[in-house]
Amino acid sequence: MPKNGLNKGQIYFFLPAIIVISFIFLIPIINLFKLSFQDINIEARTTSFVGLQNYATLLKDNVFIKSVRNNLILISMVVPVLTALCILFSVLLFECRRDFKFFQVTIFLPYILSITVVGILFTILLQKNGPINGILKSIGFGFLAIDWLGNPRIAILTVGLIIIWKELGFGTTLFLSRLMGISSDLIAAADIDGANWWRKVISIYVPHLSGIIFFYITLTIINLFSWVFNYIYVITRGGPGNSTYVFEFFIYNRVFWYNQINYASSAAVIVFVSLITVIYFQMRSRAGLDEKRDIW
Amino acid sequence: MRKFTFVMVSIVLVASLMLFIGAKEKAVEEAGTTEEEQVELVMWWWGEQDEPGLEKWVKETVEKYEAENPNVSIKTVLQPTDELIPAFQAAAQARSGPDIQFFWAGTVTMEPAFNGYLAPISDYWSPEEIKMLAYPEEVTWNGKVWAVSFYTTICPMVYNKEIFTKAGLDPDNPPKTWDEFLDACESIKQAGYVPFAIGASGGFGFSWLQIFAGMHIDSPAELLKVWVGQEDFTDLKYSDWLYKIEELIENGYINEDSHTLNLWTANEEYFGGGKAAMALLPSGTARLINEEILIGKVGMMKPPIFGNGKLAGMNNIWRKNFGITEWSPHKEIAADFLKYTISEDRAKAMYDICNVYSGSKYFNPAVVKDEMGKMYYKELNDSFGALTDAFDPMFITYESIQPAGQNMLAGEWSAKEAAEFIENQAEKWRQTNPELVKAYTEWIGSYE
Repeated sequence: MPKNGLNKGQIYFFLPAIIVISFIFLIPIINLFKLSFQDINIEARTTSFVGLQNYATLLKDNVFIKSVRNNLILISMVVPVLTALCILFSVLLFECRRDFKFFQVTIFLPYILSITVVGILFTILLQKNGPINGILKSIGFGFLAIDWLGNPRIAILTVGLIIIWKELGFGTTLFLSRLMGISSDLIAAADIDGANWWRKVISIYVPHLSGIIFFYITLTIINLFSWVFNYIYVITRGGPGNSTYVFEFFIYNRVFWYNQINYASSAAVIVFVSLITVIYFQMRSRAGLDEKRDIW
Repeated sequence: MRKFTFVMVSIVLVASLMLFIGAKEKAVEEAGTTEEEQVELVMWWWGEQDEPGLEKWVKETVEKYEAENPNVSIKTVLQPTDELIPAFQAAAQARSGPDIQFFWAGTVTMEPAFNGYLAPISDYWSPEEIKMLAYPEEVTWNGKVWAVSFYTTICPMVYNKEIFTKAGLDPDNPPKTWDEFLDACESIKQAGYVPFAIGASGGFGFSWLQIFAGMHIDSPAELLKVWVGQEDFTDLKYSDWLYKIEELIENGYINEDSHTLNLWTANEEYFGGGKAAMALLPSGTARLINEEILIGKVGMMKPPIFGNGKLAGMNNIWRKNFGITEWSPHKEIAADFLKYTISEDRAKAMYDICNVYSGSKYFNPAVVKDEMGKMYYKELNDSFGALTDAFDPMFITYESIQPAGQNMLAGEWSAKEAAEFIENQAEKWRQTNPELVKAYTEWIGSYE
């Protein structure tokens, strides 16, 4: 048997799986790339090779650029805030074990609600004359009663807040399950040494969570690249104007409303390549971290 | 030897499998031949979202047709508003789906025809039968008629007579000119009501305000020329209505949350709730509100005029269409069923059941007995060739006019910025859809 691989016989066992995976993943991906370099002639019902024309048009498309920008805004807003909150809540839950179950369920509850329900709920709650602004005005915080989803300048940030509210439960539960593995002796030792709460967070909890934090950040970035369609579809439909357009919504509209399959394919290729790049760098930096840890 | 046996057994097994599959396919084909006479048509449609009662009419029509044609069964599948177009596009790309498809008016019907997804009705109907369609020009392209208008929706400006009275206005004489309209809006505002309610969140809403877009225009063909690049949208002839809307926004005559509410919610909350004096309502909804909520207080008016175009002062009218899909194996039977939907009996039943006007000339206005029905029928004839969003390419409606309008209503853009954005988007649409532009240009011919 080769030192770091499989022998010929073993490879045959993998063949059926490789064939199935090729059919399910590889062929559609190749087809996607192919479509992105083509254009359909409606009249002749033929397709022709147009090279990078779709990509060139895409890069001049303001709505596409706005979509990219919105995805990046969501990533730069949601990832740090959500991760920090997940760490905070998981640590708090870990430390107050008496009411552990109650709080865990409370925090996890939004996560089990469907995005459609959450979307409709917040669309009603966050209307300009809706209940949240009503409450804010009635308690003297009228200056905070802004047009959450109607103001094109802040609508994408409001969507970000809704995503944080909805996704908090998953990250918290994930981190909490990792914290449960910390030896109580370690905590007790830290207490005896006089470590305050903040010191314990920095020196015990976060280092223990580092692996899972890394995984969670990658997962959230991927989600914010390619899983926010439902939020946008239910809450804003890309509006007001096109201020909350994101990648997926752009692609969906181009294919299913305007029949621009080739154009949408080029956008899909960009998303695909971006995600692969993110995953590649994540894996590389993860490998780097593991190496450093081994050295230590 | 063992290897040879293994190979032989494998060959025999594969051959047996292929023979089995082949025999099965043949049996299926033969079974199909024997059942040839039994046909199932699948029809995807929108339901009664703008015309309450329509589902009952469709159910009855299908049952009657099936009774007269025992070899035909028709399966109707309801599609929600948001899925109507995407579901059909997905079906069209797979060349598999309904035999008959419902479409909103104008471009929403014609773009699938341009894309080769529809079979022409005129290939299956005689010219005499085609002549019975109320407005075939709207669905004519390349010398062929591509859809059947099965009903007509009129969506006029409506007003609340009680609010008019409270504001010191004459409830029987709504404003006719733009200046009169502005004066009325001011009086209504002073009386503590919202003068005009609209909801523009979501896919549409603002585009309904194109009720004001025909003021300087004589034919929908003129607007189509803008979209294909022969005219410029920023020319006041085409964009003046945006400046008029801007005037309403700046003076606070439109509900301030118009960009965060969808059209239906805004209509229900403001007009139905007695908070707004004027709105745009489909006749079925207006009738319902008049009969059940604002008992007898709903009046109808023409859009106040600020231009001399032939289309000035016309209300929104949309013909809702059925088309036969290009991939349907039963096109002739589908065409026959559609013929039945616009027959005299069905046209009468449509009004009797749900007060909706058929899209065919078989409709006999004598069946309209009630005052409101007569009023709407008159308006329908007055506004027959009205300019609506039905003449905007879908991309222009949803990616240009709607977002531009939302930005205007949110106070972010001026009318000038909105007009420039719409023209830029139109240019982008032209660049990325040269074939569609060609088809649109040919379509203009049916109006000239």
